[in-house]
Amino acid sequence: MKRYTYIPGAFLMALIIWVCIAHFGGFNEALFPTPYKVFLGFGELLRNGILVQDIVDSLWRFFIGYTVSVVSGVLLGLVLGWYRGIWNYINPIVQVIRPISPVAWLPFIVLFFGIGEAPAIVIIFMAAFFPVLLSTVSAIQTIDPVYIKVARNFGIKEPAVLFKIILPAVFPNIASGLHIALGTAWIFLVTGEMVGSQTGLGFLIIDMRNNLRNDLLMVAILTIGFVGLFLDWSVSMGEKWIYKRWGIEK
Amino acid sequence: MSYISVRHAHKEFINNGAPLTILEDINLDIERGEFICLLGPSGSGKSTLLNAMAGFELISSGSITIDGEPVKAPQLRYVTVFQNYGLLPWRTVESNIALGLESKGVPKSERAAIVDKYVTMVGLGHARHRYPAELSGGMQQRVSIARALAVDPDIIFMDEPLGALDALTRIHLQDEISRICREEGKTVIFVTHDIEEAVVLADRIVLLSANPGRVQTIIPVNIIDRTDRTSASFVNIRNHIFEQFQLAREDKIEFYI
Repeated sequence: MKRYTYIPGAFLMALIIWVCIAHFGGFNEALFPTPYKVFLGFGELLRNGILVQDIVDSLWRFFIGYTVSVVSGVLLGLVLGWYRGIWNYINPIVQVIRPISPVAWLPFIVLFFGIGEAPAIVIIFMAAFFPVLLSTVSAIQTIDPVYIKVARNFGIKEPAVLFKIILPAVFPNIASGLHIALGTAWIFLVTGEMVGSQTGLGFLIIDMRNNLRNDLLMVAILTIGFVGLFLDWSVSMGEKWIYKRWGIEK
Repeated sequence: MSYISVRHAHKEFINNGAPLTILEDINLDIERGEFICLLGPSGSGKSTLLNAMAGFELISSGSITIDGEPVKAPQLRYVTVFQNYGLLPWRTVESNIALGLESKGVPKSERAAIVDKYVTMVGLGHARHRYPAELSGGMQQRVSIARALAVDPDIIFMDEPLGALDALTRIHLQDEISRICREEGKTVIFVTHDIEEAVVLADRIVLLSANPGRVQTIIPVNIIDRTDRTSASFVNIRNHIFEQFQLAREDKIEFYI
């Protein structure tokens, strides 16, 4: 029950601070909008359909980039985690590439993929790929040995064992990697959409900044936050279901 | 030659650069249909011996043969029941039991009947569509036993299968394992550190001593009613093993109060 008092309480507090800064901060209203202006801005962007269109476009790019990274990260992680010999050669390279922000590669991404849809999707993909890959590899390397014994004993051969036993056995551990990857990828959506694309929440941010519409900029920022929260919540629900089915206490 | 024959089995691990002997000169003959308990304190290598017979970890020297063939890898004919059950949490009870049948190439139409037979045998007919996480530890181990029986193996290896269960569930399952495995005529190798458990279950108890693991003695168990844990013959054998067990301990003088 406490959630129901914490959440409105937190938002009320943030709102009061916001109002105070807007009224007593002495900023130009065009540069730092009041909550009321932002509320009106929400209405404006909803009425002309821009906001919904941008959310849809962003989610679509996000869906493609994230799905491709999950599928490729899990598959590659499965193979590399299982055949440790190969991973020993790949791992040093991954460790060097992993800490680099995907945005740093931007000129090369544009060079290879051009402008438009592709760079945003590639950046989302890169942001999500490494958490997925690494969590899959480490999940497989720390798999409960009893699963491998069961597979050997019940005559399940390679490579079928990878999909029949190994992947489902470590899936709860991969799920936490998928969760982290989702958050990271959503953060990089904005950056991705700054280059080339003419729609999406990231573009909306750049567009409103260039038009000096800081109230609508705030609308875009808040929308990204709430959509991100919703995505995170959906994945948490999926994760909880998996933990329950697999009988893991978290 | 006997059905399972262990000759001069020796197993060592390298521990911090120094070889550590786990099993030393183990010799053992087991006949078809026997229920054998490997009983010993921790460090006696009883699980290592079981794993070697089941083909999971090979011995360093010596030989282990089953039906005249050297053991090289686990096989569907010799199934192991693990202490932590080894069930697949994403499969239902039925589907877990069917696991071995899939590899064995049993046609789908025949699987259902086999699964049904064993799920009923272990008393889980009502829980057949449930998932392992929804079952108690005792029920999960029943599923694991049914899964082992379903492939109609020649030998069932059991590695402290009741170790994680509470006392009452243990007693109940001991009686059931004893009954089912004898009815089905299986050869069973059962690892335990519980003396009473060994007496209830075994035709012969192989007592192992620790550090390194050696066969100390082999004790035949001749009890008419295994389920009566208070009969004179039961208590006699238990006491006899208890004396031997004390000798098997490396540190005889240490007592804990």
